[in-house]
Amino acid sequence: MNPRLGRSVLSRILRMVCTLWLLITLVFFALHLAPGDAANTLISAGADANVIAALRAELGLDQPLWMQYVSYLGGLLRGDFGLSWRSGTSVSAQLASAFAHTLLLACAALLVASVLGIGGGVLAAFYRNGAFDVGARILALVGISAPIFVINLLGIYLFAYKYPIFPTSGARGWDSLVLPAVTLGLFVAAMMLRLVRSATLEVLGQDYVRAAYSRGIPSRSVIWQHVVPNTLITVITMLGVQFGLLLGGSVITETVFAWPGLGQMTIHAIKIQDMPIVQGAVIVFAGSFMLVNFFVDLLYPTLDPRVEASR
Amino acid sequence: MRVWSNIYETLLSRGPDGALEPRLAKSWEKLDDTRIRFRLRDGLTFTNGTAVNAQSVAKVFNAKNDSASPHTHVSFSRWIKRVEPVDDHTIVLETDGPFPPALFYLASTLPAAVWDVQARKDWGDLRTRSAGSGPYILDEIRPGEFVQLRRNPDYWGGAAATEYLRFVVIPEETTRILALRRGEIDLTLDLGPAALSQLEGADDVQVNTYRAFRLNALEYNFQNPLIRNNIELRRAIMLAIDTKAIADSIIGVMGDPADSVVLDVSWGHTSVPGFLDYDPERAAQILEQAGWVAGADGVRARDGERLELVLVTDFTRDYRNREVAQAIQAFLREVGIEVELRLLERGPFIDTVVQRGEGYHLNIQGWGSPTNEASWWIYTRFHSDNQDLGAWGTSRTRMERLDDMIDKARFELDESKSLPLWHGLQRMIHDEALMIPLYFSNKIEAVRTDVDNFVSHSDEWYGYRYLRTSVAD
Repeated sequence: MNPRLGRSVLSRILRMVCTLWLLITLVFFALHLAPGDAANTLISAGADANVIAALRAELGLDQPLWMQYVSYLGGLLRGDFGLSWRSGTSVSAQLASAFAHTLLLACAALLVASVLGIGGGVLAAFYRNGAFDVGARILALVGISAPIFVINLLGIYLFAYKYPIFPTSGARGWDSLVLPAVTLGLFVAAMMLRLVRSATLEVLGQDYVRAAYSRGIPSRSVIWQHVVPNTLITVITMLGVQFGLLLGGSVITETVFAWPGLGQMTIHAIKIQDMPIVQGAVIVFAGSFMLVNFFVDLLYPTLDPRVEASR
Repeated sequence: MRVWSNIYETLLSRGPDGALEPRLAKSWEKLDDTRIRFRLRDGLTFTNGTAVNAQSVAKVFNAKNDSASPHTHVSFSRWIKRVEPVDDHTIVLETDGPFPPALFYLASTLPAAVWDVQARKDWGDLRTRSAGSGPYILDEIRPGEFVQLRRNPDYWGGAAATEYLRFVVIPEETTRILALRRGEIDLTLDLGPAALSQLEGADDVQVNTYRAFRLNALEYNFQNPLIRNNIELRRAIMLAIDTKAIADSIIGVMGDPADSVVLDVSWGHTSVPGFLDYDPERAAQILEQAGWVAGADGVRARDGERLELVLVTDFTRDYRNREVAQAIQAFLREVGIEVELRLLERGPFIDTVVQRGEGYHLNIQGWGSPTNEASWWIYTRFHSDNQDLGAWGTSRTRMERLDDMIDKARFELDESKSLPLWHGLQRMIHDEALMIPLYFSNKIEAVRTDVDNFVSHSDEWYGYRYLRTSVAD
């Protein structure tokens, strides 16, 4: 790694840490200035005033806000996200388990999306206006327009109920991953296909591609050696954004399939007012999004040296 | 609670019809106005091996009321003065004063569950391991996924028919119904009205609709002087709202119009038909007589004060609150009362109504009863004991005469005398226009027909203990 690249990476990391810190601060104060705290959940359970006071003391809610903030930041540095208001258990443990599920689903869905989206997009561009192209574009349009939960439920109805091949929901065994990953992947693939197709078309129109053809290079080689590598910037950017979003938990897909990931956990925590979990989930979501973007940025110079030169 | 009531037991329990039945205690008798003697069954053990005897039962009840480390639900058991073991199998429970609903309370898991106090101390908590005496033992718990219970082979009532009970989280109703139809799950609770049409004609599933222990009401805020000092206004509001229409068109199968502030299936209920009266003309007349005159825009005013009320409700806990609130706004508009709706999320709602009690005139909310008898419904909502900020009661009525009547009823041990008192209170709440009950909630559940012996239980908080004799796996 040349020293210039090293400096650039270092400054990016610094910027990322600052952004994360700002975000944590914002989330912390936004959630703590909102009315109501752990006492709310107890009031609805009919607890006494002294019980509520004891609980607030146990959770540190009786301390001034800035002290809570400092101790929360201190805890984060040790990987401690505090205690759940509802169950009193460690938020970190719950986040870790949920994030692992979300990561698994995101990777699987992205795999499905990449194969279908990139392969389909390149083929559609190559056979422009042919039967494959038209069919793929219509399917992609349907995929983009149909709400994700419709695709999810259709998947369950067809392949878990009508033809009971996979389980309807839950996260037990590899077979329960298939339906959520494929339906979510289809949705992402539809978006990707359109993007890859137009990026490929753009490259196909470039002079060097025409030059390659005119030199009599077989079209398969042209595609794989000249066209596809030059669409990678677009594709990687797209993949990065999608992966980041998927890591935030695909709330709807996770809910429909009762997949115990970050999205489902966050929605439930918001419903039952378990703010430490909401807070932790937002931080994990934002953090993973930033990390993915960071790595995508690192990839750019490798894919296209001009990016590095222009810096 | 549906889970915990299979693990932890109470001295008594309630059958599906609400009648009290023996559970850990095989018999009980009242010694005098403040003391009840219970005889425990022989040979009871907690699932961690410790014996359940008079000492351990006394210990758990006294620990719940220990002011140094109070139990979360201490307000449910504050009435217990102390529990004394007499011999190995006999305890005497002493109350602070006469407390007629004592047995109802002792049949509820939340206030009266019995566990091994020592085990809780040793383990720190009972979140991942259980030390109860019930038909099931906590087997595995995965937050957000499921709780699995394993049969207690040594249960005093005989081992349960099903070895494992698994309570699975499936938030999306359509997925749940498909899982049920396919046979992945055996039963599902808390379905919405849409499930009825989805399950219509399904011959492998039986759908039950039954009353939940829950009342939804429009509550006045007596902390507000306009509400507190104007009984005519409160009466007019009551007459201007068509509760029947709200229950029929918005709530549908999920509830029935409420004719009292005590649930219709609770002990002590009496029907007060006046609550269901709808007479907007009479309402307008009452307001007119009270000096509220309609202005050019139709909104009434008195001495320059416009009749504008603020109605708050929590639309996140129950999405129908929004529609009910809009209907009430429309009904009141008809008689010249302008209503500003504030639809809040749970946190801000509790903050406004429970913690601060100001900045609004009316609120819509629902509440349940763990005891299913009149004193719970009336004492907790209307007695001054419970009207402080942050407490159960949010009507903030604070009326001495009402308190006296409630006290007379709740300390009366003779049912033939207390019943008319509770009935009188329900009529008084109507006559003084202290609250407008809207509807009694229903629940919908669906059970596969190959499941045997499943008994629905209205007890919203603590139900489904009968699951133990059911669910053929």
